[in-house]
Amino acid sequence: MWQLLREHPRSLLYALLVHLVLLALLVVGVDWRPKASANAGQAAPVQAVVVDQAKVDAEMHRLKQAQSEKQTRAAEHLKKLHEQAEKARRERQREQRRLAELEKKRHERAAEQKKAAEKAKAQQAAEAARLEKLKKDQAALAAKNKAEQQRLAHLQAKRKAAAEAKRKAAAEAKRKAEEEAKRKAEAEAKRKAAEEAKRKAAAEAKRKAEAEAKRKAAEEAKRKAQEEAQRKAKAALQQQLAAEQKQLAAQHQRAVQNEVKQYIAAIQQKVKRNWIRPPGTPAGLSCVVSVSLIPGGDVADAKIVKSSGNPGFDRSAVAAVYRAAPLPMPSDPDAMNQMRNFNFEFTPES
Amino acid sequence: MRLAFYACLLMTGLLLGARGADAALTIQITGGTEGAQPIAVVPFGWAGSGKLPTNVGKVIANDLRRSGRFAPLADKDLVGHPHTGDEVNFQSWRVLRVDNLVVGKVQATGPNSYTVQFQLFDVFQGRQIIGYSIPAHGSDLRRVAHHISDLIYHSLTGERGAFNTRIAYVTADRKSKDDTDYELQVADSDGYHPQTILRSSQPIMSPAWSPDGKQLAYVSFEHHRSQIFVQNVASGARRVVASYPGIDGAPAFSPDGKRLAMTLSKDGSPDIYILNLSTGHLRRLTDDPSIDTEAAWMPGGKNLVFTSDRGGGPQIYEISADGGPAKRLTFDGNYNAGASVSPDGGHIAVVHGSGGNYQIAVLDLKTGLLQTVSKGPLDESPSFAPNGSMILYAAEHGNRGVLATVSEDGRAGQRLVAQQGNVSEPAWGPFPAQ
Repeated sequence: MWQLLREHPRSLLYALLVHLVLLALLVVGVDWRPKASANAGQAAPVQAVVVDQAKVDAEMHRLKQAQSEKQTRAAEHLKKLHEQAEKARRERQREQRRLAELEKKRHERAAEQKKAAEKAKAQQAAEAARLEKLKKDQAALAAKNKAEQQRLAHLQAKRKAAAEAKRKAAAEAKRKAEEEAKRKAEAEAKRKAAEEAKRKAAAEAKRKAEAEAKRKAAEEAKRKAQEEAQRKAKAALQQQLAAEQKQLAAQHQRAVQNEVKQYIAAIQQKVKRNWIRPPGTPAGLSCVVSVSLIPGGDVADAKIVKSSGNPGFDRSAVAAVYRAAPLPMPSDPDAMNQMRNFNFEFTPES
Repeated sequence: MRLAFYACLLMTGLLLGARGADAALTIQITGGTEGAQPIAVVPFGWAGSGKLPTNVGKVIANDLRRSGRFAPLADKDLVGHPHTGDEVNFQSWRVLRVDNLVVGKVQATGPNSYTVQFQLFDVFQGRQIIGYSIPAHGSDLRRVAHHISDLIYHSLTGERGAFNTRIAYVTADRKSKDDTDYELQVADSDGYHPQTILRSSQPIMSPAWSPDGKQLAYVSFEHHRSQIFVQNVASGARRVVASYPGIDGAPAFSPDGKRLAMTLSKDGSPDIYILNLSTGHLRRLTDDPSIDTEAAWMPGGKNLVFTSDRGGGPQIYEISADGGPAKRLTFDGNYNAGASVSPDGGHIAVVHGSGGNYQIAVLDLKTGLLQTVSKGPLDESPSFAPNGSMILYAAEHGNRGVLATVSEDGRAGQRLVAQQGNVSEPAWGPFPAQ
C-alpha cells in the first residue's frame, strides 16, 4: 500500500481532498433542519384567549406550506451534492483500476523470469530423476527376479507341504477310522460286559433278596416264637404277680381290716368315754349318728340319721362324737378311707 | 386278656368291699355315763345405770345345774365373757369340752323396764340354737331368767322346762314355846321371791295346787280344828270346802280341777273321799279300818294312789277313782308314804323309810323298782316338778326343815335358798298358763 502511495502521491492527494470536501458538506447539512419543534416543546403556558378558529387554521396551513417548500429545496440541494460525490467516487475507482492494471503487468513479468529459471532447474532435476529411475528400475528388476525365484521356491515348498499334508491327512483319517472302529468295538464290548454285569447283578440281587426274604421270614418266625414264649412267660409271671397281688391285697385288706378293727375299738372307747347321757332317759333308746371325719380325725360333720325320739339323747350322742374329737385315725390310707365316713349307733345298754 | 379280667375282678372286689364297708361300718357305742351336760353360761352383760337388779346369768346357771341335766362351768373357768354371738370364739369353748354356751345381756329400756337378750350356741358345730329378746319389768327379771332357763332346757332336752313355775310350802317360825308363826308361802321354783299368802298362829298343812295354778287347797287349824280351804292365790279369796269332825286333811285337786280328793275321818278311820267342787257332792272312795290318806291323782284322773297301813306299815296303793279294790304298789321296806305321781304317770315319788332313815325314793311303776334319790335322814313330802324332771321335798338341815330338790334320777340334789323358820310340805305348782 505504502509502496503504491509512494508511487502515486497525486492520486492520493486528490482522493484526500475529495473526502474532505464531502465531509465538510455533511457537517453543514445537519443544521438545515427546522427548529420549530424546539419552541413547541418548551412553550410557556399561555393565557387562554378565544380566537378565530378560521384564522388559526389558515395560519397553520400557511406555516405547513412554507415548511414543505423549505424541505423540497433542501432535498434538491442534497441530491446535487450526492451526484457530485458519486462522480468523484467513479473517477477514483477508474484511477484505482488503472493502478491495479499496472501492478498486474509488473507481476507478470516477474513470473515469467521466475518460470524460466524454474524450467532450467526442472530439466536438471528431471535428468537426475531419470538416472535415478533407471537405477531404480534395474534394482527392481533384480528384485523381481529374486522374488520370482523365491516365489517358485515357495511354490515348490508349498506344493511339497500340501502333498505332505494330504498324506498326513490320509494317514490321520485312516488312524481315526481305525480308532473309531476300535472305540466302537470297545464300547460294544464294554456295553456287553456292562449288560452282562447288570444281568448278573440283577440275578445276584434277586438271589440275595430271596435269600434275605427267606432269612427274614425265618427270623420273624423265630422272633414270633420267642415273643410268644416271652409273652407266655410274662403272662404267667403276671398271673403269678396278680395272684401274689391278690394275695397281697387280701393280706393288705386283712391288715386294713385289722387296723380298722383296732381303730374302731379305740374310737369306741373314746366316744364312750365322752358320751354323757342325759340323766333319766328312758330305757331302750337308740340313735344313729352319721359321721364324716377329716384325715386328722376331727369331725367334719356329725348328724342324726336315725333319731331315738328323745332330743336330749340324740343331742348327747352327737355331742359325744364332737367331744371325742379328734378320733383316733389309722395311718394306712386304705384303712383311713374306710374310716372317713361311718355311723355310730348309740345304745345305753349293750 | 386273662390279666385284664383278673384286674377287673380285683378292682370290682375292692370297690365292692369299700362300698360295702362304707355302708356297713357302724360303730356301736354302748354304755356311756349318765351325767350332766357341760354348758357355759356367761354372766350377762348389763347396759344401764347402777347395778343389774338381777344376776340373770346366775339364775339361769343355777336353774340348769339344779335340774341335774346340765353342769354349768364355774365362773372362774369361763374362757371369755362374750355377750353376743359375734363375740364368741367357739374354738376356745371347744377346748373346755362344753357342748353349749349361753350368752346374753340386759339393757335398761326405761325406768324399771329392761330387755333381756340371750343366745344359746352349739359349741362344737359353732351355730346358734336359739336366741330371744325378752322385755321385762324389774320385778320380772327373775321370772324372765327362769323363762330363759326353760327355753334352753327345752331346746337341749326336748322336754318342757319347769323353772318358771312356783312352789308352795308352809313355814313355821317358832317365836316362843307357845307362839309359832305359821305361813303359807308361794315362791319361785328356786325358792326365791317368796310371798306369804296366808299367815296363822295355828298350824297350816298340806298345800295343794289346782291344775291351773290359780288356787291352793290347804289344811288350816286356824279354827282350832282341821279344815280344808281353797284359796285364790292372786286375790287371796278363799273358802272352806271341808269342815268335818275329826281329821280333814291331805287335799288333792283332780287333773281336771273339778274334784278334790281328801282324807276325812268323819266316818271312823281316815279314808279317802272325793269332793265335787262345783256341786259340793262328797263321795267316799276307800272304806278300810286302817288309815288311808295322802291321795294323789294319776294323770287322766281315772286312778288315784294313796298311803295306807292296811298291810301293816304304810304303803302306797292304787285305786280307781270310781272305787273298787286297791292295789298295792310299794313293797320295799316297811315305810312308803306321801306319794307324788310323775306327770307321765310312770313314776311315783315317796318317802321311803328304812331303819329310821327317811329318804325320797322313786318307784318305777313299769318295773316296780324303787330307787332312793335323796339322802335323808328326815326327808318328806316329795312333789314332782310339772315336767317330771325333778322332785321337790322337805329335808331336815340344822334341826329345821328346809326345801331341797333332786333330779328324778337322784344325781343332782340341791337345797333351795333358806327360808325363814321351819319349812315343810312343799308342793310344786303346775306349768304357767301358756
